[in-house]
Amino acid sequence: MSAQAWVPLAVVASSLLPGLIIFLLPEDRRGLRATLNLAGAFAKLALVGLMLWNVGRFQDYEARMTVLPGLDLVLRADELSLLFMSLSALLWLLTTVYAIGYLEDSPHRSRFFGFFSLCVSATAGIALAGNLFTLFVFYEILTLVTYPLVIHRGTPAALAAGRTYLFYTVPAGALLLLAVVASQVLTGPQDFVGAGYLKPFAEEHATTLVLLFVALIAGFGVKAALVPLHGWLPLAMVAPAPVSALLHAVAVVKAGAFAIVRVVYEVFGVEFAATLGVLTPLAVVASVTILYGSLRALMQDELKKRLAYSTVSQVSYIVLGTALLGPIATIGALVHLVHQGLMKITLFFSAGNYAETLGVHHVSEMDGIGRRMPWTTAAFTVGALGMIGVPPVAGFVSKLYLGAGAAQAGQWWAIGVLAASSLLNAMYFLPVLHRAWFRPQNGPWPHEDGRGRDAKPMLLLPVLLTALFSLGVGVLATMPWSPLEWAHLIMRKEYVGG
Amino acid sequence: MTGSAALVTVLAVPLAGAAAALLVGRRGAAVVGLLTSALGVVAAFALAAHVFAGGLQRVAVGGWAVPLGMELRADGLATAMLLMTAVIGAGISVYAWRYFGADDHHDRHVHPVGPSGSGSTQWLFWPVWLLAWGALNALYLSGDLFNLYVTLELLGLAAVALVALAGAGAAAAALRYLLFALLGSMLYILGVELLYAAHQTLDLLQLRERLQPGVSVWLAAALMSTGLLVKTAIFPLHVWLPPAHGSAPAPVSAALSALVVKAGFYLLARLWLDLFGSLPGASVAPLLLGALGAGAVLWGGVQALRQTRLKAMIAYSTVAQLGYLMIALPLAGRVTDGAMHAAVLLAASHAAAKASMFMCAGSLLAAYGHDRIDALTGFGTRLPITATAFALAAISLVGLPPTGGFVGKFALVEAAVRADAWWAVAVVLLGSLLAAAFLFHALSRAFVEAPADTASARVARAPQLVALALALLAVALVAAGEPLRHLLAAGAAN
Amino acid sequence: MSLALLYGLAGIALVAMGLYAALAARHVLRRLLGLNVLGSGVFMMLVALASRASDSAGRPDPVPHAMVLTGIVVAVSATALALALLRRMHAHDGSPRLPEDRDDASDGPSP
Repeated sequence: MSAQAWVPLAVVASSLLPGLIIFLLPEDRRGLRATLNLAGAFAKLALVGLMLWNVGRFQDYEARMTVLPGLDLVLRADELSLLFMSLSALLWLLTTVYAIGYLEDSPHRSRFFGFFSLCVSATAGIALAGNLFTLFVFYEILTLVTYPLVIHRGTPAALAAGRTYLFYTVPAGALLLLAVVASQVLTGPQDFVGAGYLKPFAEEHATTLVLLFVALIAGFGVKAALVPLHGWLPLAMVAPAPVSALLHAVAVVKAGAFAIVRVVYEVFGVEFAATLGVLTPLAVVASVTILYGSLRALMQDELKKRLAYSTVSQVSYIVLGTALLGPIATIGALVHLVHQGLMKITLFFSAGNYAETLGVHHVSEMDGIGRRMPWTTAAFTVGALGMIGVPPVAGFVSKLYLGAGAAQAGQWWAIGVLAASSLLNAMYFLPVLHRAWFRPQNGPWPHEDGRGRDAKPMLLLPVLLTALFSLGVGVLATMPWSPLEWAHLIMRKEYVGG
Repeated sequence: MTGSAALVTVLAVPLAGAAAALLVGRRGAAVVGLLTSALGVVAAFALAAHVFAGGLQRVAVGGWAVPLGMELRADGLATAMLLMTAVIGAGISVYAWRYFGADDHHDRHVHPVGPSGSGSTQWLFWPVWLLAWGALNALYLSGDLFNLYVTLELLGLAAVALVALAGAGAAAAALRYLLFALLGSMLYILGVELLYAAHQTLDLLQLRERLQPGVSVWLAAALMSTGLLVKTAIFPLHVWLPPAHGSAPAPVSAALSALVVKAGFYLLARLWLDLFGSLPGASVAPLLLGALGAGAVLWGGVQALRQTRLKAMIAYSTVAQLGYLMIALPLAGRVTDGAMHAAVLLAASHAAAKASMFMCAGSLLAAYGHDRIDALTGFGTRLPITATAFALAAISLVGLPPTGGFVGKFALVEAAVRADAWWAVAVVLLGSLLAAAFLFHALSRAFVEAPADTASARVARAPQLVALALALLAVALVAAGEPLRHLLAAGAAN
Repeated sequence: MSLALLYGLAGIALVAMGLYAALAARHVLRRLLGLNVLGSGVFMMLVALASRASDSAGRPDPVPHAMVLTGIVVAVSATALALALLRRMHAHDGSPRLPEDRDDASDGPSP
């Protein structure tokens, strides 16, 4: 196997192997477990760095295996893979640190970290998938390995959440199977291609292609929490905070959005999709999701549920950007993939800190928490401001591009949606910030952990780092290695004629 | 070893082993069983190597040429089935060795042991199991219709005996199975008679050339098919299967569900794709079989969902999975076709996964003293090896990656889409959803915290490891697509 | 009417009767007998076949005879096994009928 083939495989293996070993470890081997986890995370980061360095110089990394006649499993590192992959690798490292701190002394840690690692491997597979079949395979594997994380606590609520999760994702998988088979029968073996490969089939198979699009978007849309397929997400909040962080920022929801990006840009091609007439409906669905998510978020007192609905809303920014025809919108969508991840994980880490340190789960309990946990709340503030779109946090950059993209595409109503959403974001985040910083504490904390200070170091460090990154990618957006510049690079491949 | 020698060895080893086990008696039966299994695996792989390299292998028994004599033939399909039987059979042997070798503990919870006691006759498992294995091999290798009858009978009797081994309480289930099997054989033989009367030969290849359409041929085909449907638990004639499983010890259930029932599918495929395929209007029968298969998938799935006991649920799952195999028949044109490829892959993955799952059920039964699904709480912590095996096997049965079941299902759906058979697509997808429902429900028990007072007996590790090994095999079969295709093509009869 | 034809028709009649008994009877022994009669019918048909296909010297075709002999052996073994199981079932369940054919009043305790 050439060097170029083993690197993508190693990226997947860097979390798979530690994960499998961790399953076999007894509960009390925390040192070994932490070492394996962190070693894997650093290894993955290093490999991703290697690929970033070399793909910049146009070196091809690809690993391929034939499963059935005409059907290959392909792992390939192109610019889009690496965008998602870098986000995953970085956030996995931070979430691992966080999870180690959060789950200290809770039961079944080996099982948890085992599945945790497998989850990241599956996400790596999704990121590096070189064709629709591979994307589908790892997508289904992701469902399988996240289920045990959702039901980790084993309580009736957790089991019910797990059941709902499967209830949504398994039929979606069946729909995807049909779509992938149909596309395979239609086109034969075909890898992802910048600007898509379905255009030649337009004449004879237009209706089939539209159906295919709907099936693929619906199938992937379940994980991406497109309305009305989002129902599983708020329920999944019953899982421990590191799981929520992972699910929302790094793995599941992001994977759904990423898959939709791949389908629109590299299976259909965004310009062809526009001529097929499917982009506008997609934009509408995305807009409905954006607004619905924000409205539901307003109504939630439970902090994690509020953040869950916020995710539903924010991830659809990516879908909206994808559905608007035009390079600027594309850049907005791609860059928001990264930015939303960073900001949302900051928010979830903060929520976890509040829960762990003070037993605070609801917004109504958060009065004066800024005084008690200033650093966590500072991070929370950065994340929240980013979500609203306040410069110079990352969210501002994405919204700017999305708005400009909408204008470029001539879809002025989309700007209205973005504006309304920002307003709603402000409405459900600013009061929280106000309570946290400016209101006095209105009663004892539900569960004072006696430390008297902010969250433990292992919980505090990750959240500060992600907040810093959220700020950094916004401030330094124009620097050569920023996500924004990377998004520019990818965009050029997706439009015919560069 | 030449190809013919390998062929004969594959046939002789289990039969000789059965005789030897019987002669050796209680003390040595298990050892003989294990040795025979190992040799059986070697022989099967040797034969497969020959078929890969040299194509169809044939042996004229006794040197007499067809049509007076009989031929034993190993083409790609037969070889694939032989390999599957050998590998999974070996796994079942190892499992049975540890399962029976440990104390009688395991059986006592399932059914009250009669005065004869299962302890004193347990060793008879070995000769009977090896006989069944031998019968399966003979069946796959037979090139002659009447020889097929003999092997079917042998298989049927051995299988009935396996079920009856559990004790007096299983006599009713075994008897029911036997009556069904006898009826099926009689119908089958009637059909063979009609064919012989019309064409003066019993050899499959010769018959294929000489076949003339006519009433008697159609009648014969109908009789033979019905006989086979009865014998192999294809819906709606499947009713003997679930009770037989319920009473049987885990190794027997594994052997029945994973291996014995596949013979029926194989024969129906041979008959309708090879033999009767050239008849005008012959596509009706596979379509009918496919419809029955669809019924099996849906009925079996729904029934499995309704079961409260684990072994019954797994048994109904077998009914459903056989349905997938039947659905492949109308989609396939020839034995080497894409749909048959899918079916064989599904059959092999199912065999591995189902055997593993019954083994897991055996361990769970031993640990909890019962197999009520809802009460099997916390088995993830109690029996982690079993839980892992069960999970992997379940994933393969549902058809999710990264397992052989997934590749088989994908190939089957692809064949259906290519043939524009949208009914088949819908049924296969629905079947997976049903399977996901009842399997994940059972699996979720693993994660629930068990109440502290739940009694739990210690369970031997070795049987669990065998279950895990077979489940891992089901996963490993994800890579079997290409090699299998080569095997099927290499051994093509023409 | 030739002898072969007579045998053949008798065979068909036996098949029909045996099939009926095998399916409709409730007592297992009756079912078994039905299956045996069914088998006999099948064998008679085979023998008729052999006679019909005789060669120019009037010797019957030996292949169907071989089939009949094999069939008889198989039928005997299977019947023996069935009888042994029947005895066991009767001793254990108290009834000579399969569970689905029992009504609780007339037979012994069902399991």
